Amino acid sequence: MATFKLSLAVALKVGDNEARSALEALRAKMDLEDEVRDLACEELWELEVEAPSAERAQAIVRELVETTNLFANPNKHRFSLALDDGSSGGGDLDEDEIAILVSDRESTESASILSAIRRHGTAGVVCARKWVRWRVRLTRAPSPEQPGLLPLIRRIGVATSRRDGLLSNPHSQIARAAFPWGDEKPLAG
Amino acid sequence: MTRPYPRIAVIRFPGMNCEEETRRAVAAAGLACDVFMWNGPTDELALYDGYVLPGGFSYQDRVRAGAIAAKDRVVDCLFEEAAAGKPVIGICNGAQILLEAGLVPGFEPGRVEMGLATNIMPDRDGYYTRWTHLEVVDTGSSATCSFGRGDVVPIPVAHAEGRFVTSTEGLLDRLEENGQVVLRYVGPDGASDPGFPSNPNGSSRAIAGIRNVEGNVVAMMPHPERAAWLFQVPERLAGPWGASRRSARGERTLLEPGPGAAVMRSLRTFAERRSEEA
Repeated sequence: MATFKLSLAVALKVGDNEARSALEALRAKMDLEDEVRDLACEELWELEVEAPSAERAQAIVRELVETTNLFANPNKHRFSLALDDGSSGGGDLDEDEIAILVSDRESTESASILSAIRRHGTAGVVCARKWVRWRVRLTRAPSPEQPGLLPLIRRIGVATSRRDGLLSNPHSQIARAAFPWGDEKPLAG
Repeated sequence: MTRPYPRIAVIRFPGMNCEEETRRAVAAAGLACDVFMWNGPTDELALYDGYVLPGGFSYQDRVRAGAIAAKDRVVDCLFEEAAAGKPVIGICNGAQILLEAGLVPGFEPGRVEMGLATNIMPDRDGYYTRWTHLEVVDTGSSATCSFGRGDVVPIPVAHAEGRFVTSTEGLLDRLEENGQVVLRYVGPDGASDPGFPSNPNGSSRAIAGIRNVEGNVVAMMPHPERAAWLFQVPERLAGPWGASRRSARGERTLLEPGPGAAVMRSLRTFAERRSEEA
């Protein structure tokens, strides 16, 4: 038996009003209309599963998602599941996108979902952590050498003042940025 | 000449749902009170003598409770009026907005110095509501100046994100030293009890409400408008307020002020004091 890290992404397949509101706040209220073109969000669950093989670990989680409604409601969500190779933050980004991942510093949500999984009778899932993954489409494609890129991402992602930052509160949440070239940078926490 | 009643605006953001009972509770304290829409003209808003941001779910708590409302234009007006010394009280979602806007604790106004994090409770998570008991720690604020220091009052909470936290080292000590912690969760007998359920969300140092340095801006998680009349107090509640409720007979008695009414009386006292000084 080995422990496998899996990444479960859950997104709405209907219109996402939360992303729309956040986009409007960034563009219209925070004067970022010249920098931010679009925004989408999804829940990203980092799961650790004890199983005899990677295939079996994925099968356990897939069955859990499809039969319990714990992670996704099939009427409104779509999900994707992959072995976590460490690139889950930025692996699928387009060249003009960056991802900002936000998670609570302290939360009982993980314990609650693990408890619900156990009540369901599914064995093997030993760890679960939820992130909200914001996909930020910028008006021009970012590059590793771009001056001012990280300050811009902080202006979008970390609420430091009334004017700056929206997607995370650094006092209660941690945040990191992921880039289409595979790099990741901590933003808060 | 009779001085006119201070005028208070209860500011309603989209998604809020406590504005009407808050307006009634404010009016019951002898204040003139209107519900003011978040996108109303700010030059009209500036004419009010004080402001209450009520509870609810501004912008459906999208992104994070209070985060989007804190970026609204109307908050610029609140900054200006708060800087002029007018009282501003945020209740629950209103408190979340004030913290996200950096109006409280306000060591550097406009800087986000704290957060209201998701509740931490044993064996459960998410939204939680119950009657809590609060110790009035400071009476220098716009929400507590009509209380006595050390008073214990029952007021209910109802939220999913109400845990006062900060990542800034020493900030909580500074808050306490300045007297900026105005309300603290305690046991029904008033004894210190930082654990659940007396502290219903795991808040740092059992903080239920804080004020800015000057005392005119207060962010509090409990809902005083839900305890503004005696009939709102549950009969099962421990302590003198529960006893009053159990012995209350007749409509007239039941319509007497409840434990939360003193928050609105504080608002009136603070606003009147300020206009006298002006």
